[in-house]
Amino acid sequence: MRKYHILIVEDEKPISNLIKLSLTSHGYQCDTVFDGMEAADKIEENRYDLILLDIMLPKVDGYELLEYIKPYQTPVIFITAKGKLEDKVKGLRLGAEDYITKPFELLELLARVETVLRRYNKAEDTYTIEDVIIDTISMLVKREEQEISLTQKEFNLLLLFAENRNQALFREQIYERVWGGEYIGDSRTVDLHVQRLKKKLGWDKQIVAVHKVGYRLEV
Amino acid sequence: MRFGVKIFMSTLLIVLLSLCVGGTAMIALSFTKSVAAEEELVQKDNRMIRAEITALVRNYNRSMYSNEQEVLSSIINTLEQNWKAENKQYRIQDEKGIAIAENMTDVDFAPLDIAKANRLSYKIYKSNGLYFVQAAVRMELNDLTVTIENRNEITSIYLERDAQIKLFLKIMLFVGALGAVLNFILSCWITKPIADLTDASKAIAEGNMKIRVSTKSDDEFGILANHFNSMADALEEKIDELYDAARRQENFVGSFAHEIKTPLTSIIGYADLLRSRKLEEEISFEAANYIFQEGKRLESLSIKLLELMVEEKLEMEAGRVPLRQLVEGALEALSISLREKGITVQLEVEEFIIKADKDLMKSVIINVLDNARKAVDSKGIIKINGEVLGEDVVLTISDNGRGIAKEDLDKITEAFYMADKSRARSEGGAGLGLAICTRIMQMHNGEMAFESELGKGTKVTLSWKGVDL
Repeated sequence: MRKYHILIVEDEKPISNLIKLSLTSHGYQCDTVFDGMEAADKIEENRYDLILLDIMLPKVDGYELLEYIKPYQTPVIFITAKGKLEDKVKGLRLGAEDYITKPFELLELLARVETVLRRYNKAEDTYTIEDVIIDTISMLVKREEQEISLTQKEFNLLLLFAENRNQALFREQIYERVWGGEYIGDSRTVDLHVQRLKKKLGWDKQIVAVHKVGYRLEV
Repeated sequence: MRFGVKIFMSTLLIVLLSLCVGGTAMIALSFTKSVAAEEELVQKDNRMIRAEITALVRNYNRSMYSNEQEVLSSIINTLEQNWKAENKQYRIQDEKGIAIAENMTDVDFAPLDIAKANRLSYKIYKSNGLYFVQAAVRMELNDLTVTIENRNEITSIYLERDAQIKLFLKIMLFVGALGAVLNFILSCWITKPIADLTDASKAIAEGNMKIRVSTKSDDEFGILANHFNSMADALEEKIDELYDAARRQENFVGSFAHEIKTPLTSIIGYADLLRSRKLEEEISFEAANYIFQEGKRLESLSIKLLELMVEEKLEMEAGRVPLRQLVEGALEALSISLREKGITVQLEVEEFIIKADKDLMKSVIINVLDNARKAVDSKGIIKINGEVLGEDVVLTISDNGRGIAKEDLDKITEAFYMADKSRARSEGGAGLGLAICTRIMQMHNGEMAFESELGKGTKVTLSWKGVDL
């Protein structure tokens, strides 16, 4: 499997480091730069699969940099504290692939990175976990050429686990990613679906409960 | 109706009306005069006939003639000789209405009331399209009573009057048209300033604050235009101020959101990282450290913000403080960080009791000193100079640090403004200090001024009405 090369342009060191940490742990290769000039230099030197771009940057701001990136046809995701609709529209109109507002959650960031890479045919179309093959395009799950029938929600849930292997997923995170919207405390929805998924896949050992707060796919 | 049209219409109306009255009066006067002259003439003629007849009758009485018939023949002769030659129209009738002598056209004489003898009466009348003025008198001779009538045709006077009226109407039309054109130009010229003002006020109402009107004329419109322009100036200034305030407000909110969101993103992200998976010890330490640092940053931000909010409302408590002690107190608070950087402080402050809120003023001085500390390299020099100028206490704090760029100088007192974001943050600032300081100086009826040159250093002057008299 090829390592995707991602450039992180963010002047806030803690955030830059945070993004780098979580992307690297998911198998991406990351470079970080802290201002617009440096970013332009890096883009010239290397071919990147994706650029994560802050808007408020020293020296050259994100919008200007986006213009500079255009000829390279590298997808760009804006990461910014500017959460106003007009900022988003401006960013997307200028040609950004996606727009993430601070504060963001790492799961969301990862999912969006994944989506954009997939859109550019750069991410894997299929996951192979144990003997199960998950096809993200046809949305089919197979074991030894035998199709396992899953509902939409179960499929999304499986995908979430597949994308975050060996990582604790908390109930509210799962709920927010799969169902969308705010998680309401004692809902049993997540547990119910996880149980159904475990049963359908026969993954009793693979999907384990974490401290009564969530689940983890161990492979 | 537009003002210009009103002026146009009313002036035109006045011109035409006066022309009409004047012309009519002139025509009427000349006509009346001509008619009066003709009346006079016809009466004169009548008197002449009478005089002639009287003379002839007198001659008869002196027995110059044998009988009255002879007299009459003589009269007719005379009349025919003199009057027919002059083509005057006359008729003499006896009591029975039989003409004794006459010279007239086929238009009959008009009957006149001549009941009384020797009483001349006259009349103007129209017959067969002709105008006449006619006189008549009854005259008693010795045994004969005759009626003497004579008349003049005055049709020409009437014709002339009609011609005059026609001509006058033509003149009226011409003058009216000419007047209308001149009037139109004139009313446009008069109302132009009004039109200009209208356009300008409309433009201003639509938001074009830059528009002004010409103030060249020195009449009331010129004055109005002047006032209008100064009103527009004042309005523009006010609106600019409002825009400015709104912009600052928006910047504040935007910056505040940004300042809050940035540490929050880190804290949430690192915490998530820590709880989601087992990390290498080094990385977990790094994550925990970031959480701590960014938490601290949030704390300092919230404290500063609270200060800003509290000081917006708080009344200051001015007390009497020795200036030197105030400055030394501020230096004391910063002594460790100053010593760490190896900064030399040169203190030249007069021993003077001043009026100020001790805590607030001290925090201003600390803030300014701390900025100076951040600006200088190690082994920098900070000079503090305190003196009294008239009613003002003037405290200058200058450093030989990196200075502030010209474009940043105006904005540095705005909340969250940081000339160099990344560097300011690494020095532990949140960008709220000078906003608070400005507020405190305002409360002291004072101000804070900055002079700076990139690479050379910055000089901050604090001055306020703090001299204790």
